[in-house]
Amino acid sequence: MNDLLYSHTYQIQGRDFEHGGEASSDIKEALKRMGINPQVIKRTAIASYEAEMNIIVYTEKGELLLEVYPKMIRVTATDRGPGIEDVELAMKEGYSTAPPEIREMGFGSGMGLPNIKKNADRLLIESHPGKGTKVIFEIDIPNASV
Amino acid sequence: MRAREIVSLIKGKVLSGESLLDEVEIKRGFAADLLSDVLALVEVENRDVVLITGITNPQIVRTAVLMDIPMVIVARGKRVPWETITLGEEKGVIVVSTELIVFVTCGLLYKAGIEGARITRGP
Ligand SMILES: Nc1ncnc2c1ncn2[C@@H]1O[C@H](COP(=O)(O)OP(=O)(O)OP(=O)(O)O)[C@@H](O)[C@H]1O
Ligand SMILES: [Mg+2]
Repeated sequence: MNDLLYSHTYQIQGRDFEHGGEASSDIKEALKRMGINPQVIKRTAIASYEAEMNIIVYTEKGELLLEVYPKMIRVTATDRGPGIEDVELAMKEGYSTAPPEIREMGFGSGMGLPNIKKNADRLLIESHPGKGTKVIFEIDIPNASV
Repeated sequence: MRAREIVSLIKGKVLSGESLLDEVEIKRGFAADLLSDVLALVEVENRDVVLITGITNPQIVRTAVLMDIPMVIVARGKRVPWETITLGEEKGVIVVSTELIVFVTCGLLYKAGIEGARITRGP
């Protein structure tokens, strides 16, 4: 159960909209190569992309850690950004502090964190205002799909 | 409907994915300027959904790739940056620009038989 099959850390540069989403695309490719169930891959990729874009939009830098176990995938997104004052509020659909210029780029509908929750089997958000945020989520791999 | 037919219907300009125009078959469409809405709502079963948007940055291609969306239409004649075009080429996503506004683009496609995308509820 606990054998780590694969792990990789992706560095994310804040404000780098041009490369935003690259890490999640790489995660999707890595999981495909491992022959994981497409539905599981899609859910992982969507949730990773939301976490990645939050690091890009709200912080200077951070990282995504991908860990693949026989029965589940875990992604840990860590940053040293401003943190989230009220996590419960941030989890509400439609809640966003994104400024207008970010909205013009297609972000800031306040659907990112709810979307991670929807796609993950387990989600944990740990945030300390002024220090940073850690978003950890896990997606189960159904039997016999690896 | 073939991607190539859609391009001529909306008098579009193909920016990337030219070689895929005859193999991509579109059945459904979704219009959005907020990419999280695409990620949260659109269900794509057979790579047959087209995204119509006013967003031009490379994130439209990233979102398309993640969602298995083969074709993106940028409406209202917005200039699409080079980074988006090259990423579309690299990832094999058809990116088309049209002078038409989103409303008219969607209307033409709907009249031609393209339905709204299926919406997901829960994983
Ligand atoms: N890593 C982070 N660091 C600091 N604040 C964050 C972080 N992630 C999210 N937030 C805060 O939580 C809010 C809600 O985030 P969420 O991802 O749900 O929506 P959004 O990013 O505003 O819009 P969308 O994801 O739909 O484009 C953000 O507006 C921001 O205030
Ligand atoms: Mg977000």
